[in-house]
Amino acid sequence: MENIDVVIIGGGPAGLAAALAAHDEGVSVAILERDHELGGILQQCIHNGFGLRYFKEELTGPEYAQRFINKIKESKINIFLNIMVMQITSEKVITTINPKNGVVHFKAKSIVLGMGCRERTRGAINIPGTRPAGIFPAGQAQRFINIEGYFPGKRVLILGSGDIGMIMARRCMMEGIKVVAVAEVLPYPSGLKRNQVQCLDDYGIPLYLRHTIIDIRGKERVEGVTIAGIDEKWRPIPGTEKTWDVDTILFSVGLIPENELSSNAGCKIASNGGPEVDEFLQTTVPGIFAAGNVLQVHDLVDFVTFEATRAGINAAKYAKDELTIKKDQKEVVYVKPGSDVGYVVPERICGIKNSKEPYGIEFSFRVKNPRQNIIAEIISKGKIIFKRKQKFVLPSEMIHLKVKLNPEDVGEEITINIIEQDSSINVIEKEMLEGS
Amino acid sequence: MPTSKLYDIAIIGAGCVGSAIAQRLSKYDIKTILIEKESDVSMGATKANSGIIHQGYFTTKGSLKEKLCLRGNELIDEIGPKIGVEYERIGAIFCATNKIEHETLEGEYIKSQNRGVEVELITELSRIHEIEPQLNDNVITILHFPRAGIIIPFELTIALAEHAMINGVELNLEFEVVFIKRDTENDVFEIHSDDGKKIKAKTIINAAGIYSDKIARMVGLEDFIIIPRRGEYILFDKDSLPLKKIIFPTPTPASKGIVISKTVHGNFFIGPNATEIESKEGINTTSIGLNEIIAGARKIIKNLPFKKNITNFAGIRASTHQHDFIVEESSIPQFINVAGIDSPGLSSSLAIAEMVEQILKKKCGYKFIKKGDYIPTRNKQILLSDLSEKELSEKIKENPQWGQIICRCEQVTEAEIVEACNGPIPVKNTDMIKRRLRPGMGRCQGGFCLPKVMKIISREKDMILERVTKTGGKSFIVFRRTKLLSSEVIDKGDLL
Ligand SMILES: Cc1cc2nc3c(=O)[nH]c(=O)nc-3n(C[C@H](O)[C@H](O)[C@H](O)COP(=O)(O)OP(=O)(O)OC[C@H]3O[C@@H](n4cnc5c(N)ncnc54)[C@H](O)[C@@H]3O)c2cc1C
Ligand SMILES: Cc1cc2nc3c(=O)[nH]c(=O)nc-3n(C[C@H](O)[C@H](O)[C@H](O)COP(=O)(O)OP(=O)(O)OC[C@H]3O[C@@H](n4cnc5c(N)ncnc54)[C@H](O)[C@@H]3O)c2cc1C
Repeated sequence: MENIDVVIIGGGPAGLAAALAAHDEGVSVAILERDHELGGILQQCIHNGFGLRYFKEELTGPEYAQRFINKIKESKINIFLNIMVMQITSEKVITTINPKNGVVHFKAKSIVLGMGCRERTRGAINIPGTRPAGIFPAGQAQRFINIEGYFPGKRVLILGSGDIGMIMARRCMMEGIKVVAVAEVLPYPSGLKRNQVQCLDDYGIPLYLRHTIIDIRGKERVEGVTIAGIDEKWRPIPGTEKTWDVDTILFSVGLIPENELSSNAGCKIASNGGPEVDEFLQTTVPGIFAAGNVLQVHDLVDFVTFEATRAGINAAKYAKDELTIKKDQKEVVYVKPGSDVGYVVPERICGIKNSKEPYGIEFSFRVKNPRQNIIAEIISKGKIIFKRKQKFVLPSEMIHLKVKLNPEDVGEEITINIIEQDSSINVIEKEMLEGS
Repeated sequence: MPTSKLYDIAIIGAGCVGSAIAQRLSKYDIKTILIEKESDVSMGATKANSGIIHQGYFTTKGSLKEKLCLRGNELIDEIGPKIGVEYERIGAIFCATNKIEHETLEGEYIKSQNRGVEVELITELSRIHEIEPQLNDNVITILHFPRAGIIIPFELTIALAEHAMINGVELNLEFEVVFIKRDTENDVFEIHSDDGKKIKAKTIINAAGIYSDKIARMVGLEDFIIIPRRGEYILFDKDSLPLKKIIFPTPTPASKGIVISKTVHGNFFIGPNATEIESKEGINTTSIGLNEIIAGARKIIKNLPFKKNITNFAGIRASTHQHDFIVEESSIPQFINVAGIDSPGLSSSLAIAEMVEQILKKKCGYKFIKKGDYIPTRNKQILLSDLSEKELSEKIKENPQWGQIICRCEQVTEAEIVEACNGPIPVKNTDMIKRRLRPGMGRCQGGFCLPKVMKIISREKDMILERVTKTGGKSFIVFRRTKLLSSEVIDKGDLL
């Protein structure tokens, strides 16, 4: 059994930032990564667009990762590669397997989960048709082209306008793979605006909004696909079918935080698929922290780095016994997603009730619908305790709120709402009436 | 043309039925060959069904279905453990939500008692919910068959076929029978493939599933036609619903209804519907079908964990107008039909094999002599999940591939995949590995492991990655390298 203060599970951008931050706090740190190199999903993201916030320059994924990897190599952080974490217990014993040393156990004082996410599959969204070769999750196709060096097909339709899907549309065109169309079930693209412009519009790839696949043909390899418009109940509208002969279909229909290890360790999983955390990014198991896509699916890696840095610092403090939070349930304030908010991280706040002064918290959340001229407000005990105006909000862009709240203003629960600027008063009055 | 080898018995179709017959006959000193058009065994109806070991319920009195299903249910205890197949007798329940349904179950209760089957009719609500807590509150009666069970149909079939092969039965894959010639002078059949291959046999057993009518017509038999009836399914992630039982609604004369059942590996599924279709290749799923099974499942259970579904699929039943199995020597001597094997064909397969053995003995003149060197058992491949930590450490020391996890969802190592690649049935594609060890069957559906599994197959089978397929034939996964060194030549152009 290896004893280490802070063990980081996963060597993607979350794991790298958490490791460096914990290391700076003067504790012993190990990164456990199942791949043969560090960097996580960034190693296959060879396009640029990374680092604008963190480094104030535009880098590719591997470049962004390399800056952290270089620092880690100079540090005393222990790097374990080709090692698969099989189990984590609530006592923070970690079971791993690797070809060289077999089954190895680690005992940590604290842990940062940074396992990232997996792609939602065709089966998970019940797309009918046959099941031949040529159907790929978009990220896997990206891996085939960028890492393995193989063409996954020649004529492609992409379902889902997530960032990976749009980036893959451009990547395919650049490699000479024809992209016939991108279909999206929502009335708006589900990825970043800049990706829509740079990856679809610039290449003349049609985007069909409010459309989905209603049939896939082909016995051995995909031979064709049919999409159709859908009505408000998501039923295909007869007469709107469009059919193409394609040999490949890519699915870019969302990412799912990868939390089998976390839930087996006893961490409660929240509705967005990530572990429920407090303002220290600590899960419901004391001493186990989470950051990056394992916690919530991020659109920008820079925010993964910011988030993981906090998790790393807090994990180190926990290991040094410097993170003192009362675990008394009465002290906990729960955070609820209110009107038009999908989910909020953190889901609970543990330290505010004992604080003598205004208490700083960082919320991140996503809206359910694209809107303009809104107010993001925080409500507790029936009163608005914080509000911020914003011109645009999109489900594809995570919202970050850094706030300081007065402990006296906060009850057992706080709610985050997105409301229209001029109707804000009415909504609050309504809620106060309903509450009384 | 070189004279081809003469077999005693050629079995056409390596589904569970053909494979069970092959396994049964492998005890004896006869030359048997199992012929299959696909790249693996178990690719027909046997690949996609409910995997339930039924117990004769809701079959017609005196039918072959009744007799063979009851016998098959018993035989699995005799044969399953010998060939290393896992199954679980978790029990099945039929649910009634109104008086008419209650009466139907009462009727079946009496019939089942007469069949000598262990059965219980339960109307006490607290017991109903104790037996299966997931049931809706409107269920008033359940009919419980504690000895019904679950099995993975392709695991059974692979085990049967492999056990047959260990004992000398030949398996000829990718041999699509297109033409059969009767050589009445020499009393042999000449079986021809689509690509010019030929097999000679004294006896043919037609176990070709939905194509058994086509095979029968090749020797001039027109006494039955197969009506393809599709059934669609939705499969859910492991541990997403803690089911205890196989759950049925009250069957109607048309169908057994939408089943909800867990699988041996801890997943659960809902399905199948029953739709008559034109094409025998119509294994596609449809929006209408998927909605139909969701609605059906919601009628009996409370919490369908949406978001936890991982795939959908469909299988085709080989139904006939006779509504019963056809297991007999046909009007053509030495040509045995095993046809119309729709549900409960999987449950009955071992008993069908026993019956075929009798027919060969009594009608076809075979005097079966046991082989001296018969190997009565087949060992199941050792899996990561079978090993303790200490045993695993030992294994990794001997062979580091035991320490390389290839599939994270189902936890499969490289060593296991390499062993399966080199098993008795030659592995050529990723789906074959998937059916044997489950990489690609989990929640990420191969998102993580597919490139890794492809690389192992390419290495073990010494073929370039572009030649690795999903299911054989032209089901290529990637078609060309993106970049080539100037010294390299492109592999014969494009595969797609
Ligand atoms: C296709 C794509 C395009 C993107 N484009 C952009 C962009 O243009 N700009 C931008 O800023 N952001 C972009 N992002 C987002 C950003 O890259 C991700 O949000 C970020 O990589 C998430 O980091 P992570 O560390 O949480 O996860 P990951 O990068 O997925 O890292 C997780 C790591 O954990 C390891 N791991 C998991 N389980 C185990 C285990 N059991 N044992 C050991 N190791 C394990 C994995 O191997 C992996 O290395 C993109 C993402 C993708 C997928
Ligand atoms: C939706 C559904 C649910 C079911 N549920 C259950 C259940 O829960 N329990 C149960 O007991 N039964 C069930 N059944 C029935 C069961 O699946 C079948 O009875 C059984 O699989 C039939 O096996 P088989 O070997 O006869 O046919 P198949 O598995 O179809 O095998 C026939 C084989 O013949 C091959 N073949 C065809 N033509 C040729 C040719 N020209 N040349 C060479 N090879 C050829 C095919 O490729 C195929 O592999 C279900 C069936 C379906 C479709």
